[in-house]
Amino acid sequence: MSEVLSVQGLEVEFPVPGGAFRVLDDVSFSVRDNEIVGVVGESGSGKSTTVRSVIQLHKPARITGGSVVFNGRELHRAAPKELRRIRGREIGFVAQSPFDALNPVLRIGKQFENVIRAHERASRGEIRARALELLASTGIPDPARTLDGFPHELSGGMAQRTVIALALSLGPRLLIADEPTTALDLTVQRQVLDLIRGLVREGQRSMLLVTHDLGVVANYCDRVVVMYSGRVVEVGDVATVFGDPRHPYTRTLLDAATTDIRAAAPKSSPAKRETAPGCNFAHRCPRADGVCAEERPPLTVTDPGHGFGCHHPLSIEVTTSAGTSR
Amino acid sequence: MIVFVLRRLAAGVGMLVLLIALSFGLVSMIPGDPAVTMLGDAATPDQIAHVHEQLGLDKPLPVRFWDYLVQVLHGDLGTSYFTGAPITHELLTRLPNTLVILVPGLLLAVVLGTAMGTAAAYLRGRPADRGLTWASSLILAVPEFALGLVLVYVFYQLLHLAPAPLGMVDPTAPIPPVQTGSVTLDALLSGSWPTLGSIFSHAALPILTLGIFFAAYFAKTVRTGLSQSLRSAQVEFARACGLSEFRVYRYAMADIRRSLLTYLVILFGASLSGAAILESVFAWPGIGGWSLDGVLKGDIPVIQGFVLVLGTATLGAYLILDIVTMLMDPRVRSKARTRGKAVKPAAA
Amino acid sequence: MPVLVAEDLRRTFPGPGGSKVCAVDGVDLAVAEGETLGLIGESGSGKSTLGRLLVRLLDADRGTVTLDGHELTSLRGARLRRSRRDFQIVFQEPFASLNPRLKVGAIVEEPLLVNGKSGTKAERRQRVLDTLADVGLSEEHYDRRPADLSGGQQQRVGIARALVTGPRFVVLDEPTSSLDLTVRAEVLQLLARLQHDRGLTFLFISHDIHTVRRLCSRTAVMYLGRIVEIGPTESVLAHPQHPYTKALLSAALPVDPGHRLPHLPLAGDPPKPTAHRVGCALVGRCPIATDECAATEVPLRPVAAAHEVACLHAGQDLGIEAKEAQA
Repeated sequence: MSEVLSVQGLEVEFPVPGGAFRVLDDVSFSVRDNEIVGVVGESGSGKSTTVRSVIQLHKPARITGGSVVFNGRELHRAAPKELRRIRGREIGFVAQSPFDALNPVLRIGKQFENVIRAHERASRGEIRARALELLASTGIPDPARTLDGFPHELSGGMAQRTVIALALSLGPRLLIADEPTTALDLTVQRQVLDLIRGLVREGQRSMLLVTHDLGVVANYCDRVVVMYSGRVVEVGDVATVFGDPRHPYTRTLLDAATTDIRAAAPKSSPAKRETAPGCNFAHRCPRADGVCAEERPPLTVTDPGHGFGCHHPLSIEVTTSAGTSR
Repeated sequence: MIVFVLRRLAAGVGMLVLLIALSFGLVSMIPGDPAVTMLGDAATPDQIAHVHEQLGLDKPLPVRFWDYLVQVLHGDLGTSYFTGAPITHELLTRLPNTLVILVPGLLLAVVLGTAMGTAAAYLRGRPADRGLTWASSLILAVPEFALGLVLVYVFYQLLHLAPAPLGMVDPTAPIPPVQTGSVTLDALLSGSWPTLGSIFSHAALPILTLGIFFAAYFAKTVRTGLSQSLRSAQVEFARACGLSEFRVYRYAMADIRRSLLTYLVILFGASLSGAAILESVFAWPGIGGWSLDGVLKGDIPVIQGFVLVLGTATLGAYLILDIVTMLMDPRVRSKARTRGKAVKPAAA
Repeated sequence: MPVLVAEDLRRTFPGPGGSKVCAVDGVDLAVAEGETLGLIGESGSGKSTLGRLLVRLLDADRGTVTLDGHELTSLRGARLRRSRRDFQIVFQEPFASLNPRLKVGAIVEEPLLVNGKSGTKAERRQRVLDTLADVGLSEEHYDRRPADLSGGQQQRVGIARALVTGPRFVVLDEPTSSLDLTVRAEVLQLLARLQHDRGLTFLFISHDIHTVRRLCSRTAVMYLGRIVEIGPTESVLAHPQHPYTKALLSAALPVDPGHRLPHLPLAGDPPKPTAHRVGCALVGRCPIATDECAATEVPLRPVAAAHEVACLHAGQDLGIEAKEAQA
């Protein structure tokens, strides 16, 4: 399986008065063909910035190091014009709240027209036919009526389906979805997740799915990237990472989601972003020692593509260990 | 939708009646007896009683209000206490003169302000943004008339590009054959180009003054609104779909155009009531200087007339604003529709 | 012996175009001493409105609320204010619900002042400090402002404010849903301990089934202003009878990747709750609805020990597996 997207050693800084604040620090991961990769972490972990920086939607933050390679092209140094052509056409994007994402004063049909015409010449009739087909494929019961209407006339689920149809209207190879169901009603969330997964699988696409919900990762993703405080702490197959987590933070996260509350939860003063030279999780970690506070743990990669950045990983037998992407 | 417009119109008419009541009330609110104002302190009680009778001030209040209402609705706003000129005619000749500088001035302000605000929003935090913010703060700190005087100094005295700030037509310009009382209308109706040209060259500086002054206000509003909407999820999604930056900008502007239009109407009202000072600087024969004169002399019919015109113009502007924003925004439109529907079952 | 009893509560709000939205539509509820009753539902189900009605932050159009046998619905003015020490609420957004200009000490002290019988200044201070210690904060937080605290600490302040008067009954309105996963676990643990130590009675409002499963002894499910299922948490979550409960449960994804729940899709999105509704609210989205469901009122009826369901076809097989095949 070839890689569609490869992010290596990505550093992103956010300008603050009198300097810069590092939001992402040495972030590396990849997305292969026909694969759904989940990016999980708590608020402030940098998961949204990570996926946005792939198509440089993360302004005013800037990429200060590392690389983003998509289909052999270096996006981190692409000119604005080239980026614009890739956005929408080769990489689609779905955000959290459909009503915030859609233009409230334009008819849906017009929004399809604007998106498609941003990339290719097409007649009104062609665009309409395509939009009808796209809306139907996202399970909208009356595509023609939706096309002639405005976003506020739709329910939350239908609006998000419309956003998905727009994001897929030029057949992108990679779909980036940032918490695509968080703003929807609970009983609608799985409908939409099932839909996205179906469209990605059928269309031979890949997807980068940002979520804070471990259940979504467990049920919809092939691989997972666990982030903490601007760094990747663990990456690998969902079954491996969730079944045999090596990083204490991943363990903490899984415990918080599953165990009975009467069992011990970790001691924590919740994440204030650290700029410590060592491991960002050190001050919350039960296994931390002097090394952790001073030396940043490299991402150790074991055989099946399971990587974790920890000096004292949870199981002892590490088959192969190699520092990567420093 | 028609229901919405009709309801809005009805509300406008109601406000208009309130406005007339307010302007009527001015007579009793303004200190001093109008008769004394007219006749001077030496007037005898007989003379005062005579004037009272002439003005109808001896009748009971409701009757006087009814008379006034009927009068106003017939377009008769009375005559000036001092010059005896009919107010309606004065307004008709002077209002176009004021609008000749006000409307282009505001349009200029919108164009300049949008350009400045857009530049500042896109360059937010950079030196150019700080420069623009600094410049507009400076303009805001200077009173309107001072800005006018500076422009007169630069363009008339230094560069000799503009005519002397004395009135709106050169005395040498031909007098248009049609006579409505308003030089602007006359020149327009008769197609008298030299006169129009003269009006335009005289209007240039006041228009520029207004344009620059209000552009500073407008630029601040555009900058604030735009820098927010450029960071909105809607704009992010538009960018993520690969839309051109120009299209993205239009999406962002659509987001704030309603508040911009509202602000424009507020500026219109402010500039109309503030026209007096600018007109004094340029000796412009508009309603501003005229009304100021009336206020200073206590010429009540003049004040009443000005209040009515100002109020009607502002009410009209808000009415147009409401209808335009409704036509622009489908959310408001459909709300208006459901409200229209809801009326029927309630009445049935 | 129930601490809190609500009978036939109803509350409508003006909706778009002069219509009426019935957020809470004839709810009967009894909360027993020392229990945590979970109230789950989607946004718009009316669960937050119900919580606010119970603590008199909103007035009901109809129905009564009694706490320890005392009627609350008719209380007004000073008597209502005094009685507030017995029932409190913790809000979802900790930061938005705390006055940013006040220090933590003052925020927690406020209910003592409002409710009268507050003792001397020193006594009040001691009481505030004790309560802060009880929720895991220390004296150093007393003089801080909410903005200086983390989300978890802010919510602890919110909990301390609710507990400082020593209430009998506390409504917890999604107290952990805006918190991060690891912080959420800590706050839930804290709530469980506080309840055990102080013998509190909780109504825990949430849309998260995992959380309810872990904290609540009994669970009520709300849909469009009505309670459609209520019973012991074990029974309701393990053997749901109402199609809506089943859908809600199947929407909550388990974290274990090996264990994939079948998915029961309800058609479409939840509609807006309107007044004067006849029949079951789920008609139109429910796979097993019949004409009868739309025509008759469906009251809560017992199906198992202490387990009640408002469904004419309670427990009927929904053919979930067949639906899963096509998804």
